[in-house]
Amino acid sequence: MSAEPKGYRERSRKLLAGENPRAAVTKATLHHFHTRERAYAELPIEEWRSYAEGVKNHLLSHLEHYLDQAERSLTAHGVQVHWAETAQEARAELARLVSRYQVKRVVKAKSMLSEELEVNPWLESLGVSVLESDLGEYVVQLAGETPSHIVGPAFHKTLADIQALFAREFGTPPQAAPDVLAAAARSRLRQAFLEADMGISGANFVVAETGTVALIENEGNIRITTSAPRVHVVLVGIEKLLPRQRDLAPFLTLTARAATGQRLGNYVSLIRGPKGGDPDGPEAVHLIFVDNGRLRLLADERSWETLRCLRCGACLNACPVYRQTGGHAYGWVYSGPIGAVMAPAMLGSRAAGPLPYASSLCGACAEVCPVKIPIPALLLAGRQRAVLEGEATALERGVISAYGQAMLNPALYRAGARALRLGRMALPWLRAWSDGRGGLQPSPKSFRELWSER
Amino acid sequence: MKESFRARLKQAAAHLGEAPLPEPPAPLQLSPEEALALFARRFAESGGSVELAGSAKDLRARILAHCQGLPGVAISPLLPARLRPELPELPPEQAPLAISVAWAAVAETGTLLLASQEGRRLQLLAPAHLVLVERARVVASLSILEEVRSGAALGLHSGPSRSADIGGITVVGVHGPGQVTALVSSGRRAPGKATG
Repeated sequence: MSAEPKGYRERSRKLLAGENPRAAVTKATLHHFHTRERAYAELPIEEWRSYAEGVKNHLLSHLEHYLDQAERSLTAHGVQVHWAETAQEARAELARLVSRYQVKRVVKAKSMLSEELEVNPWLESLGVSVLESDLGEYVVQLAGETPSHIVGPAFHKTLADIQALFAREFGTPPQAAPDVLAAAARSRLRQAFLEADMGISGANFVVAETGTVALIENEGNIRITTSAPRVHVVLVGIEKLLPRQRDLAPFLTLTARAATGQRLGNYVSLIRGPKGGDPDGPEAVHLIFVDNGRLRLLADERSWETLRCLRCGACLNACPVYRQTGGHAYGWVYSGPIGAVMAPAMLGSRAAGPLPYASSLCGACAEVCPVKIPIPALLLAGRQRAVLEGEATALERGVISAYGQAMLNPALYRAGARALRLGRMALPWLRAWSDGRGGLQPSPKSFRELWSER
Repeated sequence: MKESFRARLKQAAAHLGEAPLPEPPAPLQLSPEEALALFARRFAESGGSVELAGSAKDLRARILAHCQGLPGVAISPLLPARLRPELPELPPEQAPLAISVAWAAVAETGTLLLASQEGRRLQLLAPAHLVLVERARVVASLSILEEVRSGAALGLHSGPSRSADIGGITVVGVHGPGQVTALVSSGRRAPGKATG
């Protein structure tokens, strides 16, 4: 998916005009918001969040050490490790693997990094067929769209949308029940699993100490994608490491609780290498460590904290702004609050456009984040960066410059304060405020006037 | 690591201070009986079924009951001969039922741990999955993953294959088994050996 956050305003206006995405996204995100709340309540969650934050901070401050250790552990069980500094390098590495193993058919497990690297169009341009195997991701692929949520790619689609899509694609009845639709997808995808030459997945974690690749899911498509084809390729961001094997259990359950409110996904794969003496499994496992802007984030004195992100989507589910439009408005692979704070540092303020402003700064995202990323503070930092880089809107520049003038000039300040007291009802946003509340009743006299009358 | 990458990494991380590595939260501790009860409850909560065998004889009878009327089954090489049903063995993608032997089970998450040495297709491709687990291998905490040091892959199964990607409505058996049963042995003898 190309990064086009600049069109955020136009896209959200268009999405808000239609009823479906808004209703579907609100329903799905609120459901996950509540299941997460229940799952958090079972633990001394603050202790767990502080631990997870601490582990990731330690990891990021020793990233070179842990990447070296991970490379050694992975290589020791026969995983072949590659490094890609850019999306182009990652795609070139994939092209080499496709040609080396004479790959014609690929099945993919849902991976946000593969969206970021635009893997599907690249593989198709090499003459390789690609099928997404996650049900939501498959729906999105059939519809010719991109995922709208980190965890639920098709959160923006209603049952009726998917019924219509499957009726066209598979000839299922127009009112087919969800299990009938799932069965249609299952039979198409089962064939693809058994015929695929290569499976491509992401990774939730790579344990540096033991070289274990961990993947969490519910459908089993990741387990099959990483088991049935003869080659497995793991695409992983350099920040996805965990230092020790004993960090794995708490991070797996914390991620599942934050993402879907489960204690664990119904399936977790812990992969250490090719099949060896096992009856089945891939003959070769390749892992590509990808930078693609992550070192730029790491170098940023504020935004480096976003590299703790577990991609659980909890901040999207908690965000009242995301809930209105879903992820497509953001125009980037990472949407919602976390996308809005990663974009300025990874893409630059010009490309990030208005994303740091797509928030009411209510703070719900930071309250639910399992690794305590201070998203509201980073949104403000993103706005500050936009101003420093000359990307603020003309309106914002005008208002702030008028405010600055008024604060420096006592006469202007007094005149402004009087105007605000008298003209309050003329201000449209105050009318919107008073629609649901009692009207604002400012004092007839200013503080300065009251003070001088004492 | 490529040297160009290393140089950029050093430069990018230079501003970060020293951050200590904290210890994980204390693992859940339970008696064996409590662990078994919690495992049974949690595994059922995520859509699996649990059966407890009273004796070795009962264990065999329960396996045979699951095989009743089937044309054949897929069977783990880890399943001891004395427990094998006398049915044709089918490849997992054709079998109506696959029988596995778990390396362990975890109570707090309601999870079966399945080693890849018995075959991963066996654990994934049949519509129904029967998993034997030794009573003594039902542990309280997921921290057992610390002990996993070998094997190509370990699968953690905490219920049937499921998805809510179609309009938020839960569907089971999407890619993997729609029915999964944990059959807990009486525990005096191991049903089989596996390593993670």
